[in-house]
Amino acid sequence: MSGLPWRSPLIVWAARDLLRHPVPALSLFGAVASLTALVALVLLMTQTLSTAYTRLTEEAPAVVVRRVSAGGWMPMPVEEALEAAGGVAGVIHPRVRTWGVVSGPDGPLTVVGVTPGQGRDDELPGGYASPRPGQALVGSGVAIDETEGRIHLVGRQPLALTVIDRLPPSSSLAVHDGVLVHVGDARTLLGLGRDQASDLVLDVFHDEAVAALCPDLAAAFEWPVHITTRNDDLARGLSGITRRGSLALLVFVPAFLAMALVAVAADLWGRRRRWEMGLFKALGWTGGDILRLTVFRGLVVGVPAVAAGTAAAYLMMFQPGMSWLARMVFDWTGPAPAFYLTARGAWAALVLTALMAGLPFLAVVFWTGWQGAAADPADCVEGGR
Amino acid sequence: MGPGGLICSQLGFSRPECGVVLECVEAEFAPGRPALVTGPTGSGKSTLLHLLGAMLRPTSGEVRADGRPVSRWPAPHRDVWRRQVGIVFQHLHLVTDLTVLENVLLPFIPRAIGWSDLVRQAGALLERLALASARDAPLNTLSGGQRQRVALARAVVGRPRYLLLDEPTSFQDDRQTSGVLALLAERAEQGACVVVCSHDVRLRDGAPLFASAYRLHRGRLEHLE
Repeated sequence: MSGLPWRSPLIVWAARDLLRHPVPALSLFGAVASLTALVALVLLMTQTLSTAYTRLTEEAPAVVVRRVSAGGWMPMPVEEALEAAGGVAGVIHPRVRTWGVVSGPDGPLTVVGVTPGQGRDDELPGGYASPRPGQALVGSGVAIDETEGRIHLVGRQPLALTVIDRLPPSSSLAVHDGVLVHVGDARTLLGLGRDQASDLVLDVFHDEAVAALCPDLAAAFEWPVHITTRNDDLARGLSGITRRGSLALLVFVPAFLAMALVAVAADLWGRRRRWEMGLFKALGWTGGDILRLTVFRGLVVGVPAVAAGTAAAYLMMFQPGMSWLARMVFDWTGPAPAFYLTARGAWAALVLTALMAGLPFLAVVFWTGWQGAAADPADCVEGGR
Repeated sequence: MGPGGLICSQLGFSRPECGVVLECVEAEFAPGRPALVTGPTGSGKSTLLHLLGAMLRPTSGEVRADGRPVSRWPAPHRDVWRRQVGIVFQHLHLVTDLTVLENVLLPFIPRAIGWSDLVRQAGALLERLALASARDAPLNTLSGGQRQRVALARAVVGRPRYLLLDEPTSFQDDRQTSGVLALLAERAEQGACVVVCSHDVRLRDGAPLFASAYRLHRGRLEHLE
């Protein structure tokens, strides 16, 4: 039994000891695994949403300019807008976009107009062909009639388009519920004229200069505009995620209560075995032996339980088909969007999970072991069973 | 190092609920010279054994083991010293949901030394005590006499320096009693300090094993010639 650490007699005995009491051991495993899964799920969700939103925003243009009036958003004249933006020092690559929200078969969808020839060799990123008039490329969250292969959209005018392809679930969150159509079809759906666009976007030489450019940009247009920057979007988005994450953190309150109950149960379990600890000491075990046995016993249950809980949370978050989280957070009804998780973010979430779930458990295990180590053989020989 | 074996000097023990149990006990239990302690039920025989095994602390006097004042040591030191003690409790104190072999090897679980040798020794011992067929059986399937022999096997398997046995033959028939006594004689010859507390008349009246005999009466230990 000796030799390799995991063949240490005490570790083997710890496992044997758990087999002697399978019901408490399994209950403890289940409780720790469930609590870990709950904590890990919240932390992974917050982390992954932050990462996804940061990536989404990084792919967005530095500045978005929308024409507004007292009634709200207004179409933007293309030529005048490009000319005005191009005249502002520091602005690079101004371009207009044609997009908007229309009604789809299962609810609102985002229609994005694609101008042929804008992509390299008339291809979109990922090798998809630009949709021609009457064609559509749909995101993974858009429901279509697969047998018919067409999608019916209703904006200012109804339009039926042939679906030529579907973007993979790993595509950007921005196109999850998006429909990419020819720019002409987009104008038809959104009620825009040939020389009109939804908004204007541009890049800048230096991100730090964006705030200084905004007043010049606003002054360059002949009509009122609303300007949003990537940094504003990022701050707003992350603030929303933090807010939702903070609400989700409320589950930690019952989680910690449950952990406290687990701790009390583990402690009581340990106290009930005081006679046995006393006997062990009467037979020549030291306090250190009993402490090590208790810690090993805790680790034999706790480590797999924390691992199982973390794995369960990961699977719930990232395995396809778990659309409940997206439905809860984003009100998406279709297939779940792809979530992103960076290695760094995952480590942070997992380490935090281990700290929040594993440390209190280990503390209880250690405390129980400490009490057992202090057991007196007299408890056994005098107290009896 | 002083004289060998276990020596009680002015040993006393009392409990708040039942007063004085032992009073001014003077005794010397030498290695190789098994001692028998008799006395009526409730005279304090078990308490004396627990004091000798450093499981209880005397309220007065001391117990010296091979010259060392064990009874005065703090608990962690006594715990380590107790590795040299093999004990059979009057109520056996076996773990009923473990197998016979697991019970026998229980004192050695934390010590990863010579495990296969210990298992072999335990197997041989169980065979000698007519428990070979029950080696892997749960303890709760055994009779009282078999359980008592398991407790004896647990006490002697590690060849401890001190053997303290409380009524080790109370559930044994004559043949098994002879076997137990032969085993104890063998251990004593090997240098163990053997102390047996019993009111079993077979031990008191006819066993040639014991080199000295004592009688506990009203908390005092009397040496019997």
